[in-house]
Amino acid sequence: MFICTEKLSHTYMPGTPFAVEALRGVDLSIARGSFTVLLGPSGSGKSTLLQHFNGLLRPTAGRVLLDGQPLGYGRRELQQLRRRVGLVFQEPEAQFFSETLFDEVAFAPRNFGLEPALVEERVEQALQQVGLDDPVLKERSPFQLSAGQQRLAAIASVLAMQPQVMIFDEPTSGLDQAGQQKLFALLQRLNRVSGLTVVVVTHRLERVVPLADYFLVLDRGRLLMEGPPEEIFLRVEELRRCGLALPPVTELMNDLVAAGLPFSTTLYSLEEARREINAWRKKVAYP
Amino acid sequence: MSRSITLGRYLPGSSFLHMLNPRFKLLILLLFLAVLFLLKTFAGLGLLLLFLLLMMLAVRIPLRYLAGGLRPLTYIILFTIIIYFFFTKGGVVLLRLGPLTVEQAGVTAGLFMIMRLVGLVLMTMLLTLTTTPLALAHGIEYFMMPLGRIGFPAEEVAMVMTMALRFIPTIAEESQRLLRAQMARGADFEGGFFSRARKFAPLMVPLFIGAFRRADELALAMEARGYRLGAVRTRMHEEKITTTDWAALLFALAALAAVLVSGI
Repeated sequence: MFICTEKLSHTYMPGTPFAVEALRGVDLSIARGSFTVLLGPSGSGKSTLLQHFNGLLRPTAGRVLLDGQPLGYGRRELQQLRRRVGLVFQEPEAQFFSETLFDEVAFAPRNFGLEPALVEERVEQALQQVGLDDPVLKERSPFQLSAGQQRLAAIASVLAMQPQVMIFDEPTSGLDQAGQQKLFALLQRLNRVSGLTVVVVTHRLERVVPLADYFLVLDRGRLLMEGPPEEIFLRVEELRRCGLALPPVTELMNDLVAAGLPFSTTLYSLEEARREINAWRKKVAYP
Repeated sequence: MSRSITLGRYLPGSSFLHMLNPRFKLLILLLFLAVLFLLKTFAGLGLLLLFLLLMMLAVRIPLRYLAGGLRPLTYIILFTIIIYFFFTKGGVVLLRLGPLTVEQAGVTAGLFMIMRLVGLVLMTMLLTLTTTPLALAHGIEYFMMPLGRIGFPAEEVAMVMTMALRFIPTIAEESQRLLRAQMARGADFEGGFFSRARKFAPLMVPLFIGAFRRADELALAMEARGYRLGAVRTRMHEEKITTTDWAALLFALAALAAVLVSGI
């Protein structure tokens, strides 16, 4: 397994009246090259967990392993780790500070002390990956980009480190439908074409389920379930109990099956459902 | 980072000190400050410190908060010791270091000063640890209101103060988030002061942009809800005055009178 946690616990402000137990003994593993979705109601510890994967937070107890090696928390080890594990925060465009898009994306490679020529190459590649490789845009202020472009630029600024893992915390929040679609297409490309291990927190199930091969469900700091979508979405009652829902299409298909129609209950995307319903209509119309 | 800030941090609780009206608490603090500086004997000062310590225990403030509150004063205390011990002369010579002497009067005065400092810290801690910053601002606002008559913009200042207090935690949280976001992009904020200062832009620029955006939004939201200067405003939580408030104020006045009369 590529990323593992063993009995990982995290308490914010321990030993004060403000102490909050955000994670309680989480054991999980994420396979190399997988597309993993982390689900959980707000306050379940998702963001805390993500920040353990690149060493921004230190476990109160337990440990995190990357590629079989326990994480080290020395200054140099952390720099190495952050190069390998890219983390895109929620609304990452809030971290912009540079005068041009180029400088913004070059921030990370420069931090790792790369040669100017290499920095430029990395920036080009990263911008190309997110589809912002336009010489005019590159010299523009990152603040002048559209909301969707800003999000892509922020992701490019992490991709420029050429990490092996990309972690996204609610990457579509505040984006319109077109922006969301673009973003999930990007996640899919990063996973399938560039071969990156992708971990993403999102509530847009109907879009992400067709891309994902593994799910982790957190509830109040504990790992409630892990497994492929077919397994996770069978446990409807448990999901509901912690305030999570099935993808809307799956709910609908379940209702149709309950009404006696011959559909599958393991459909997660609109496209699949449309295909199945059309096939059924043809069968009914011309038996 | 935020762990070291014990002075000026509210500790939730339900003791009678937590419940006191902030206006009364401010008045009582003033009275006790007078007591602190009017006390002339070790016995009196010791009694006051004992009383303050007992108060801390009574309102369930852990004693390690006291240590945290005194730590920033380490250098001031050291400095006080040096100045008083070596430069105040009189009485028996206790120690001779070459040309320097430590005499009894110096030691007495130094210890007295340190006890006063500790008393000062204890008092402010008792106030700030049991009062939310917002309640404190309301208390101060009340005493500023009469200044409005001589043209001082009391209401505006109070509003600015309240808002500033309200946004300190928000901005602190935001800066933590930014710090981590930039660290995730390989920014290294470790190292000495100068190397850290050089790396300020990635932190300060987004922080200011965020603060200005938030200020704009806040102004709009306030206007949308009918805020205007000079309007008569009511509060969601009216701070009531109870018999406990009067009793506590009377007690403070009695303490001050006792010190003045007995001269301890």
